[in-house]
This record gives sequence, structure tokens and C-alpha cells, in this order.
Amino acid sequence: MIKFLLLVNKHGQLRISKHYQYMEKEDKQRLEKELIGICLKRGDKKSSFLEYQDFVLIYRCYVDLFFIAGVTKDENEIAIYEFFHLILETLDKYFPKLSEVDIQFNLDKVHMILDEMIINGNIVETSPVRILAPIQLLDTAKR
Amino acid sequence: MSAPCVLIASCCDIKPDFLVKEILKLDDLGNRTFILEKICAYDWNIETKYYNASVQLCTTEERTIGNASFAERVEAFLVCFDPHQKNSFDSVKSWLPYLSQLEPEIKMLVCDQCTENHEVKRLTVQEWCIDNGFELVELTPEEDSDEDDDFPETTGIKRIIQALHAHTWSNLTMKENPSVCSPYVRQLMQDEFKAKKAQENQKSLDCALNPVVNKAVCDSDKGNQLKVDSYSIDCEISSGGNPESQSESEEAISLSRDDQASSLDRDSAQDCCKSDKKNISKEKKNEVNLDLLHASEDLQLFEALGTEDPGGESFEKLFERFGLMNEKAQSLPYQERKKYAEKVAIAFWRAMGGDEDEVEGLSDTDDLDP
Repeated sequence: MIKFLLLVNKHGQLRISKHYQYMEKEDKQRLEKELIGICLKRGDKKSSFLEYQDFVLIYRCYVDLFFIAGVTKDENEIAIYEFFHLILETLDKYFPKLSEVDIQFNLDKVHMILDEMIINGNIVETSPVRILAPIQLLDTAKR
Repeated sequence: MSAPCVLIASCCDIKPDFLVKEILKLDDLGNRTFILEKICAYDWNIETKYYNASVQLCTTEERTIGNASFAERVEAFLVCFDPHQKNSFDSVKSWLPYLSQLEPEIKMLVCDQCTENHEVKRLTVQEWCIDNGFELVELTPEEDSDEDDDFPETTGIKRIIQALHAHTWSNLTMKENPSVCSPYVRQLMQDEFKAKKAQENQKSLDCALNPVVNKAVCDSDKGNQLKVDSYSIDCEISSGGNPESQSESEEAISLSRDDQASSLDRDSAQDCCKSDKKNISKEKKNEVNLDLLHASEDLQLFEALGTEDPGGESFEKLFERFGLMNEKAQSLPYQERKKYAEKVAIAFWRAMGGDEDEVEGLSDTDDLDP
């Protein structure tokens, strides 16, 4: 399962953080800081998978955003790696010309999209159309 | 003067003014204003999808924090260096104590190009950057040949601007209605607009072709545009070709004509529906409308959803429909609207493959057959 998912910009600023397993606040912050450092240092030229403590760290860099996930050892790393791409594509579909600013000012939407895709650390939906359906329904209602 | 600042400094040949020119996209900076001794400021209006902000790009030739109020205002810091010269990098490092006073949220280290072959190695630079919260930006980076990336990395001055845009400026003003609606919704709005147009055209066509039946419609139409919605439903029925509903609609129309005679100052068709609540045949008319709306396409669409395609083509269709359904529902009186909403919800639930138990006992199909 996915233990946590982070979206970080190149400055190392955390944009989105979702944890699917309970962790003390201090531990969480320390861990996040550590992982961001590791991923930024490794850059996108090195392997995107590494073992860290009791889990596997997977990250992928797009433009100015890093996707970072910690998964249990029985999870398929490549699947998660591709899952990052799916998240990106879904976001890109919803926000044409996705950029960091979109995420920054639509945190609620991004969380909703992620909640459609992951429940309790498990991937539950992979069709962008269906992921976006409820959110678009809300948009329609708001009009 | 309390606009937030971007402080730009240089430890090499790249002049801070050069970056300012690039950011402002100007060839000539024109009048320079010294806001403090040796600190020059240029206004920059940032406009993004979501906010406007006016900030100042400040250049300085030497290490300084200006004064206390200036230090407060600095929110971003750019510094240039030359990887060919070690002392250039060292002078960047000597900015650190100043930065601990300025506390800018965005820090960027700018250079022309940085590779492993330079005197200051790329890896060293990168590690220093990460440790100190800087971002390394190369103005002319080495070409990345190995990938045909869907999402290529932005570099150079573009990246600097992008990063500055992504900062939450202290004086930003959010735009009222950011255009964040998804492509679907935009498409939907367009379709809806077209549908409305088509409906109106259809109506006037009907009026011309069938003056007897639609006389009431045309007459009242001249008087009041607001009636369009509800009457166009009448037209829909009469053009539907179903003899039963046609006779009913005629009845309804003649009825509404009578009503017109009795109360001249009625404002909208909705009002007329409300005031005639007791009138049985009027209610019957609404019932017909309701069923017609469903029986036509909506339900089919929902059913199709349940059975077919994971690709989700019909979902897109569904969303187009939602706009129309919403509009139709608007023209119904309160009670009917509630019923309509319930039906849509139930149909949607079934289409999603929801558990039948959940919707058991709720009125749906049993209402469909009059």
C-alpha cells in the first residue's frame, strides 16, 4: 500500500502531503524534510526507487514538481511510478497547462482528485474521466 | 511604499540589470529609482491566472540588507555566479549571513551553465543549493537529449518567472472569478448556449408552421421574454408527435390563454404555475413534462452508462446532459423540481452500479408511467 504521497516543488517546499498511515506530527515533518532532501539531491538522473527505513521510496520529477511516495515493500514500484504519471495527466486534464500555481490555489481540488484515486493507501480508480466526474459535477452545480 | 521586493545581486559578470530586463521583457529599463543608497528598484506587475500583485525588482551591487524596513520587504532573492571561478561561488556563500536577516522565501542561484567540468562542480553547487534552500537555475542549460518528454523542464529566465509566480506575495489580490473551470465545463457551457439558441429557433419555427396550436405561445411571447422556458416545453411536446401529450399540451395552452385573460399582469410562467397549483390539469401538464424529460434521452443515457464502456465516452455525454437537466429543472415549480432531482439521483446511482437496496422504496419508475 501507499504510506504517504508528497508533492514538492524544486525549492523543496511542500505543496501537498497525504499520509495514509498514522504518524506523529513531529515525525511526519522530520521525515518529510529528510525525504525531500534525499530526492532533490538525487535529481532525475538516478534511479527513482530506493529502500528507506522500512519502506520503499519512489519519486519522479516533472518540470518543477517532485512526486514522492513511500510504499510498503510488497507494492509494485513501477506501478506507482506510472501512477504518478496518471496523477499528473489527470491534473493536467482538469487544469489546462498545469503549473505549480494551479496546485497552490486549488489545493481543495487537488485533494479531491487524489481522494478519488487513493483510498486508505490503495489505488482505487485509474480512469481520469471517472476521477474527474464528481468534481465536474460539483463545478456544474456551483455555476 | 510597502510592496514586496525581489532582491537581485550578482557575484559575476552577469549584471543584475540583465535579469531585470529579462524578467520585465524590456530592452531598456529607462528611469531607475534609487530607493536606498545603492539599491535600485523597478516596478513589476505580476498577473497570473489567480492573482495580481505588484512587486519591486531591486538590484544591488554589493552585499547589503538595506535597512530594517527594506529587509522586511524582501521576499525573494536571486544571485548570479560564475561556475568557472571559485571565488565567485565563495562570494555567494558570504551572502548567507545577510540572508539569515532577510529571510527570503524564494532563493535562486543563477548561472549561465553548470557542469561537472567547471571549476565549481555541478554536484557541489547542487548540494549547497539544497542544503541552503536555493534553487539552481541555468540560463543556458546543457541540452537534455535522451528523452522526448511530454512535460519538458522549464529552464532559464522562464523558470525564474515561474518560480516567482508560484510565490504567495504578501500583497497579492486574488482575482474574483479565476477561470479554473475544466475543459469539460467550458465545452458544456458552449453546448448549453447553442442548445438554447437552437431551442429558440425551433420555437419560432413551430410558431410559423403551426399558428393555431401555438398561437398562445406566440402571443404571450411577444409580451414577455421570461416565458420562453416553460412554453418551449409546450412546443417540445407538440412537436414530439405523441397524440396524447399533444392534446394535453393543447389543453394546457388553451388553459394558459384563459388564465392570461383573467389575470393580465402576470409576470412569468413560473408564477403562473405556482398560482395554479390547485388546477389539476395544470399539474398534469407538469407531470407530462417531467416524464418526457426522462423518457427521452436521460434515462437511456444512464442505462447505457451502467452497461458499457470503461472508456467513459458516455460520461462526457452525461455531463453535457447535466447542464440541460439543470436548466429544465429550473423551469419547474419547487415540488416538481425536488421530484426531478430525486429521479436523476436514483438513475445516476443505478448507472454507477450502486446497490439496489439503497434506493428501494424511493419513487422512480413507478412514477414514470402516468
